[in-house]
Formats: sequence, C-alpha cells, structure tokens
Amino acid sequence: MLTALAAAPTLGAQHLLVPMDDAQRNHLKAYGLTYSALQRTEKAEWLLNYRGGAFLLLDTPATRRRAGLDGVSVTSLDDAAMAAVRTEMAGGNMDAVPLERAPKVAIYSPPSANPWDDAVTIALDYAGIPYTKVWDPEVMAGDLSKYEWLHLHHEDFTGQYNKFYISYRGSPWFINQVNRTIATGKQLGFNTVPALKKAVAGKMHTYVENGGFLFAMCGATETLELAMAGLNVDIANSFADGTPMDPDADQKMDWTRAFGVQNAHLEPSPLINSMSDIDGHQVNVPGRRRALGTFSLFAFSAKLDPVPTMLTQDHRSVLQDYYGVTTSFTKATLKPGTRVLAYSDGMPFAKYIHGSFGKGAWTYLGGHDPEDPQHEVGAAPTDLSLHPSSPGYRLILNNVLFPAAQKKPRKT
Amino acid sequence: MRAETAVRVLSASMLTLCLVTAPARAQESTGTGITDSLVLRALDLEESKPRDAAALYRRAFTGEAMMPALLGLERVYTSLGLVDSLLPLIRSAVRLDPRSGVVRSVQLRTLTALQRDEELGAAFRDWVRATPGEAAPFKEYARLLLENGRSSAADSVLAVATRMVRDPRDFSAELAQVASAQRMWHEAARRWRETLTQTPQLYQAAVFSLTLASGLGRDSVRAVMLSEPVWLPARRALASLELAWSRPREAWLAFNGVRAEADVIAAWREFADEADARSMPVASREAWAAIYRQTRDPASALRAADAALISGEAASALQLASSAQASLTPQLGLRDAVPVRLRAMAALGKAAEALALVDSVRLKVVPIQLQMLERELMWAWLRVGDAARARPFVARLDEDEATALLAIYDGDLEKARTALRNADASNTLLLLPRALLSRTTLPTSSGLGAAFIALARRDTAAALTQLQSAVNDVGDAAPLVLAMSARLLTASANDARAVPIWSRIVTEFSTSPEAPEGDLEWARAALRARDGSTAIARLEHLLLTYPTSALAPQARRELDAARRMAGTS
Repeated sequence: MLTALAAAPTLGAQHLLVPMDDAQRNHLKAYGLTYSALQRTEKAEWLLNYRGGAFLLLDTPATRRRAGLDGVSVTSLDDAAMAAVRTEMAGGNMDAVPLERAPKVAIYSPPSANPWDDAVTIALDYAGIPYTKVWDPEVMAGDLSKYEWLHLHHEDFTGQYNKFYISYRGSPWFINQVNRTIATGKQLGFNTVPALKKAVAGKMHTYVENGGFLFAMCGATETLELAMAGLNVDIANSFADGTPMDPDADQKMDWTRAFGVQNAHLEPSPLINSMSDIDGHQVNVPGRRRALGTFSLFAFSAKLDPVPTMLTQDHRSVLQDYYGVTTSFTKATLKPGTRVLAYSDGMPFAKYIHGSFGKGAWTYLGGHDPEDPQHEVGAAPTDLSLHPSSPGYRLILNNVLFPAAQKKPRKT
Repeated sequence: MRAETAVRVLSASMLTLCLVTAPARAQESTGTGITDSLVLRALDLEESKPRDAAALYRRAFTGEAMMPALLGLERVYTSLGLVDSLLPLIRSAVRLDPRSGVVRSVQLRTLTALQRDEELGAAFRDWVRATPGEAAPFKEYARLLLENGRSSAADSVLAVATRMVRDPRDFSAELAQVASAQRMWHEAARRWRETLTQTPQLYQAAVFSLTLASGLGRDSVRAVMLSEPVWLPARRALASLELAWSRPREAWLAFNGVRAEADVIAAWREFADEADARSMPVASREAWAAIYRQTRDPASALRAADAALISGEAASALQLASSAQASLTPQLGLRDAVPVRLRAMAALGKAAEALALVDSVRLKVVPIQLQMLERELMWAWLRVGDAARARPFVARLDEDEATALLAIYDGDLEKARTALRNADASNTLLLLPRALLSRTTLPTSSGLGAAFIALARRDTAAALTQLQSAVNDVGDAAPLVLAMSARLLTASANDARAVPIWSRIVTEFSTSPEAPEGDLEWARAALRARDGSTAIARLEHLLLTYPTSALAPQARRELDAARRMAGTS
C-alpha cells in the first residue's frame, strides 16, 4: 500500500485547491466537498501536511457550485501554480495521496434515539456525507460486508448498558433502552444482552479481519476490546445477565482477540461506573477521575508513514481534551503494535490510537464530543454550524476519507 | 457521558461545607482571648511581615489565646510554606484539649496538606474516640475528603457516622454534598430537601450544589423539589435554581401551591431581588406583582411596573402603576407613579390618555418635573404618528431625535438629515429613517412622510400604498422601500403579495443590500408553502450569488432544513 500511495499521479485538468489551514472558512464541509467529488468518480488528492492537509480536486462546475453552497474556501490552480505546489511538497515532509472512490459508510446506531449525541453522525450530517445506519439484526445478518467503513460510538459491547443503571435505572429512556435491547436479543436467539453484544462484537472482529475499516469513539472503544477478549468469559455483572462476573475473569481474558489492548484489569464492582483500567480518565468514578487537559497529535513522515499522517491531518496540533465514558487509553494496556496518534499531555494516556488487524484496520478516538468537553446525558446535541473549523471533529472526518485512499477494496 | 469535572464539584463542596463549619470556629475564637495584645499585633502583621507575626503567635500560643494563636499560625505558616512546623504545636494543643473542634480541625487540615494519609486517618479516629457520639469529627473529615475529590471515601465515612452519632440527621447536608459530587442528582435533591427541612438557612448551599445539574439531572431536581408536601425552602431553592438555569418563567412557577403567608412573602421578596440582580424582569414582575396583591404595598407595585416595562409588558405596567398611585399620597404618587404611567402610556401609544394625565397634574408639579412629563408626552404623540400634537412639544423641548422624526413625518428629508447629525444613534425609532436617508438625495417626499406616519399608526394598508407610490421617486433607496413593503406583508402572513415584491428585489435590484434578504424571505415563503424545490433554489441562489452576505450562514442552515423537507441531500 505504501508504494501505491506514494506514487500520486498528476491529474490532467485545471485544479481547485481546498486549503485546510487557517485560510479555510469551513474545514468540516471541505471533507463533504471532497467526498462528493469522489462520488462523481472524479479523482482527488490529499496533500498530506501541505496547508493543513489540503485537498486537490478537479475544477468542475459541480465542485465549484458545492463549494459555494457550503462556504468552503477553494483556490484555482493553473499548471504553473500546481507545479510550484508539487515542488514545495517534494522538498518537505509532505506527500500527495490519491483518493479514488467514496467509501460506503455504515454507522452502528440503535433505531431509537438515546439522550446523547453521536459525534460521528453529527459530523457526517454536517459535512453532507451519506451513511447507512445498522444495528444488531443487520450486523448479525452479515450486512457489514457491504461497507468499507464502520463507525461505533457509545455502545457498551459488554452488555452492561455503560453501567448507567447506577444513576439512571429509573429513567424512562434507560428502561426503554434495556427493554429494546433485551427484545432484540431474544429476536436474534440470545438469552442475555451480554451474549448478544459479544456476538455482535465477534462479527465486527471478523469484519476487520477480512479487510473492513472500523472507527470507534467513546465507550465503544473499550467495551469492544473487552467483549472480544472476553468472548468465553463472564465479564458482565448480575444486573445484566443474572449471574455475577467470573471472579477469575481477569486471568481468563484472551487478549489475542483484541485489536489494540492487552492485560487490562476489569472493574469487578457493579457499583463503580468503570469497565476496566483501559480508560485513563475514569470520568464517572469521582475518586479516580482525572482532570481534562490537552492532547497533542503526533507528527509522522508523510512519505514513509502515510496512514497515520492521514489520520492526524489538522490545522491544530494541540487540542482541548474532552470527556467520554472512555476518554483515553492507558499506555500500559496498549499492545506493542498499536500506533499512538495522540497523547494526553502530561499523562500516561493515549487519546487516539490506530492499528491493523488481519486485512483491515481500526482506529479509536477517546471521548464523546470534541466540542462539548463536559457532555452529559440529556445535553443538547452540538450544532456544528457554530464550529465549522473544529479541529477535534476533523479527526473524525480524517477517518471517513482514509478508506478512500485504499487502492483496492480490502474487505473480502 | 460523565458525571462532572472534579474541580467544579469540589469547589461547590468546599464552599457549601465551609458555610456550615465556619461560624462555629469564628465563635470559638472570639471567646478565647481575641483581645490579647500579642494576637492583635500579629493579626496586623500577617500580610506585611508574616515571620514577625508567626513569632508573636508563638508567644501567644502558651497563654489563654492558644486557639486564635493556633489558627493564626496555620494561616501564616501556610503562606510561608512551613506547614509542617505546625505539627508539634498541634500535638501539644491536642494534649491540652483533646475535645477541641478547632484544634482537631487544624490537625486534620494540616495532615491533609502534608499528604500524610495514615496519620490523617489516625488523627480522625483519635478525635472520634475523644468525642464519642459527636458529629464534628465525621463532618470535618468528610469535608476534607470531598475537597480532595474522594467523594466515595467521604460517603463511607458518613455511612459509619450515621450509625455512631446521636442524631444521624446531623449529616444530611454532607450526604447531600456527596451525592452532588457523585452527580446522583435525584439523591442529592432528596437529601438537600431533607436538609432544608431542618436548616432552611442552608438553601444557598443547596442551590450552589444543585446548580451543576444539567439535562435530565435537572428534571430529577425539579421532581424532588416540587413533590408533596409543599415545602417553602425547597420551592425557594428550586426558584433560584431555575433562575440560574435561565428559565425565569419556570422560576416563578416554582412557588405554585405555596400559601401566601408572611414567610412566603419574605421569600418572594428575596426572589424578586435576585431576579432583578440577574436582569430577569419576567420573573421579577411576577414576584413583585404577587407581593403587591398580598400586601397592597405600592412600592412593590411600582417595582413590578418597572420590571413589566423592561420586559415589554406596558399594559401590565400601566395597570400596576395606576394601582400604586391610588395607594400613595398625592405627592409620592406624582413623584413615583405618574412618570411610570406616562412611560407605559407612551409605549402603548395611548397619547390622549397621556395628555389627560399630564393636564391633570400640570399645576401640581414644578417646572422641571413638568418638562420631564411633557417629554414623555411628546414621545407618546410621536409614537402614534400624531405630528400636529407632537409639534409644539418638539419645538419647545428641542431634541434632535424628536426633531428628526417629526421632519420625517412632514416629508422634510433635508431637515431630518440635519437633525440626525447630532441625534442619539441608539434610538430605535430612527433606525429605518436613518437607513433610508443614507440611500436617497431627495430633499422632500410627502409620500415617505405619509408612509412613516401610517406605520406609526399601525395602518398597514395605508403604509403599503404610500410606500409603493414612493418607490419610483426615491432613487437608490427603492429596494429598501420595496423591502419595507414586503416585510409588512410577510409579518402579516400575506405571502401571496410579499413574494412578488421579494422577487422584484432579487431580479431588478440584484446588487442591492436587500437582495440576499429577498432570496431568504422568498425561500422561507416557499417553505411555508411546502415548496421545497423553490426554497432550495432561492437559498442556493443566495449562497452562490452573495457568498459574503451576513445572511449566508443562516441560509446554509435553512438550506439543510429545506433539503431534509424535500428529501434530498
């Protein structure tokens, strides 16, 4: 793949440069503009580390029109200007990656609304990138193979409803969520919700192994790892499946099945709102909670390491941190092959990690909503028209375009 | 999702628990020789010469002033970074008086600051043994744990405490703090309600603690505070919380069902003052009006009238001020109520009533008061577009703003321009005339004058006729005049007549400042008619033709909505 990405062909027509530095008025819609060009099978390039990770698109009426409608800043480049850009890029830590097709996107999301927002759905809606929602029945029916990109957000794959029963067991939305999930499980032949969610996690494991790309945020990151490693272990408390957690669960976990984490310790108490020691910030455990600071994106070699470079393209390198039920990843629990894309500054935690598994790849971004550091249950969803240049949301959209850079479909 | 930041929760915990414990310490120190000259001298030197102050406190420590000296040394050594120097003094103080809450509190604070957790735990247990059945050790220890973000540990300490002390209700405030720190809002609200039944004066602490709730947590707090039986401190706390959450109407509704007795009226007064301080006249008006209904106190009616005027409820203001005047002496009524009534009448355009009011008091007021009243009367006439009645006042009072508006009514645009040079730019009645005059060089226009008079008289039909007849005479201001017509029609839900005018602005005056507004309003009319494709076309036209328009961000939002309605992406 490195060879394919490095040999970025020169496009043959007039170009539009979509700068992604501070000259850009709407960074988030710029991703939608690029995606729409790919949908029209127009070739595009991602100019890594050039002007904040600019895009190079064909100068077509459709692209110009959409840029105007979306308020995306674009600059026309003639051949001489184009040559100057390429010369500048050749001399620095920059490279051009061809984007060849618009990836088909699926979002794993429950059919009814929960009282919290999903940053990826918000980002895709705002950028105008189409997606399909899938839920347990679709996943179990094998529908994931239809998509190049799968997003997970807040789901608890251990089947313990994020332990929200501690605070919200009497809330109508929580009762509905529990009833709905139990009904889905029964419909699919599972006696308990943890069994259902482990089976779903297994399908996702296979999806990535076969070449799919998975992006997860917030609680889905940690619980997916736990569900995969704990496939044959009772890791759920009795409120979820009627039996207490296996007292030797820690020793029985099979971390070879996990994507990026190993040797983590499960939280055995049903009364402590934490799943394990994977999360560094432990936001819902007052005695353990760590204050928010900033996190810093790593700089990678665009020519030698294009994948992490793509995932970290941004016009800011130090970002305000934000909480989620899983905010960060304790360094001590990361597998040796896990690439850290961003660290929580001054803390032994990674914020943003990536890796390959089988023929596919995965990326985890800790936290819930990059523009709402304290996002709470019941809080209003973020209005991205008020944050059109959000550097945190850019990280999400980097992941959406990343599969577009693949030369061939990776899933089988 | 999360509970809340430790910092905010801890700040709340610290403040509210300090409110509980601080008075006790202050009383104790007052009673143990505050007059001692060494301590007084040391107090004077604390800021400027802390080392000298420390030496004086050390000398005083052996005498009767041991307690204030110890507290002084705690302050001074903390500022000097010598906290560990306190330990030998604390040990000797504990030996002398092992039951002293002051000494023990200093001991726990010092060990906490030094992060000597084991010694801290031992000191706490020793204090418990020295004062069996008392709540103070548990309260102080729990407070320190909360300050350090250890709410679970504080919870455990309090759980033990409730079994060991004489009256477990002593801890309701601390348990409420713990629940708040853990963001268990239903539990926190329940415990605060329980606390307020015993110590209503802690309502500020409850409000401070519960303000941090958000989303569904607030609903839990509301449910608890509104539950039966109706309890005033709980309702008062909820009212303050709603103000803090920027819901002034709901804030006043928190008092629903509370019987209006003396303590309730006192609570209303506090609430009304709080609403005024927060610039929430809607809540303030309701509270002052309710107080007036119960007490017939005219001052409350006038406060209510003022709040009503600020919140745009001039009719209510007029009624309240009239009632107040009836209860006041004639002199006070003239001084306090009449100006409010006049302002309300002017805002309502009740110029004839305003004139009658001024005539009725004309001989009873001094000249400066009369001038003030006549000024209100002048603006009442101007607001209702009665140029003839306003004219003598305008001539006599010589105000640039009034002169300009009267000149506009007269169609004397040149005179209006001259007057506007020195007029107050913030006068909202002059915004439109100012915009119009900047776009046309016409010296006079009787049509425009008549249009502005019709607008002031709220005669939409006449205003439209006059504006449309003036369009061809006003040169570059034509699109503005057209937009004025179209806005009137849009406001009266007459899209059938408004859309052709917006369309004309967009097509005939495509480079005018009103053209983007034309596109936007045309699109909105189309959306109201469920015509998504026209709406999309107009919004896209706006964005592509006027990309730098201030309306572009709004147009993008409405384009998304139009696309959703039309089922396109």
